[in-house]
Amino acid sequence: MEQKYQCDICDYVYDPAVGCPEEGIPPGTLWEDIPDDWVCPECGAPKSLFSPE
Amino acid sequence: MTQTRDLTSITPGNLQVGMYVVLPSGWLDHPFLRNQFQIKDPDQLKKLQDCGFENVRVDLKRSKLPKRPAEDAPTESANEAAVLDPKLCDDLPQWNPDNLVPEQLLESLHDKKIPPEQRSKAVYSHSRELMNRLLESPTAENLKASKQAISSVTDLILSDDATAINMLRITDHDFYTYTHSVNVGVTSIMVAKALFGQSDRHDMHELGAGFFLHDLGKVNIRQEVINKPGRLDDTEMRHMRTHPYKGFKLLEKSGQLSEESRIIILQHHERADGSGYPKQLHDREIHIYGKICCIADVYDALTAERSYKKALQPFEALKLMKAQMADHFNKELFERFVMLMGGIPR
Repeated sequence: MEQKYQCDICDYVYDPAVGCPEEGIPPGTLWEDIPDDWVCPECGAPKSLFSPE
Repeated sequence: MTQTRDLTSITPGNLQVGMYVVLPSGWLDHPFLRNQFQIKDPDQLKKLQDCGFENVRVDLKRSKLPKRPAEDAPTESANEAAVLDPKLCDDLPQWNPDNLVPEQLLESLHDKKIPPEQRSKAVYSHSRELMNRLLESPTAENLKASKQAISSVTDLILSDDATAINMLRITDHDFYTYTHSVNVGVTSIMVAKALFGQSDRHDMHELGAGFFLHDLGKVNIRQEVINKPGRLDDTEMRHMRTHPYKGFKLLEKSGQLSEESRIIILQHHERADGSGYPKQLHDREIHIYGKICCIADVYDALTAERSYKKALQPFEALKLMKAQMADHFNKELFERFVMLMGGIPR
């Protein structure tokens, strides 16, 4: 299973298997492949504030 | 004994703890803030019996009486069962706006005849009970009800120096979030009072609520993390550090605090040197309300006992903050804080 990442600000978990379709990230997208300007859909934190879950 | 509709009229001598009384007149005629309430303890019963009423109406359906169905009328001998059976408390409703605010808090807030020392003790301990209940049931309606009570506590702190200073002297230092909430609330309001004086540019009621509710987000932190005896590991710490945002969102959804006041909840762990969380803001980016709460929060954490450390005395806490944490705080604000806290007679 691919590595999940969790937002340090609000606990939102990015799961590559699920992606984030509502933000235009299709299921199967690896963390590394998400654009750098993507932000947490829950609280708006940048990618740099996510940690491996 | 006469019965009218659902109310039963009985003599004061036959009242007992657990009865839900409906007083005959306006609140000017008795020392209680509400006209209808459940008698909570023998003290309150005695106070009620001393009011000089000939009869008091009791709503038996809303009463919680030991060893008898609520529909039964009490008899002369009912007086023997003066204390509410704790087992009967199990079916009491969860906290709601009707029972959230302790009756004694309202009474001690409004009774100006109580000496400052006694009044501060009563307001402090019943404020803790209020926060305890609120953190158990943090619904939007309860937040609204608590906000009104906190406004009255804020007014007392702003208007009555003797009582307010005494509240700071008697603070408890256990590890409960509700105790910490009241300590930080009272301390922060005192700091805001010293800084802002009579300026009408600051809504002190909103501010007071924000200070008391600064740790509200902890209701959404896992219990095993909140109650862990000892230091948190990295994962637990990351989870714990989400509480400012979670509290901020909870209040935003409830619509109960102004935007400016919600910032207190979001920013109370930000530090002037950018080493705080959640956003690692720097001094100039942190709202003054967030800075006030941050200093009060650290001070209370240091003077409180934890499973992994002893409580520091006020002076030791201030010394440690100056020696080791000076970069965390706005310098000017910290100096004001030291002057304020250092000036309180112990």
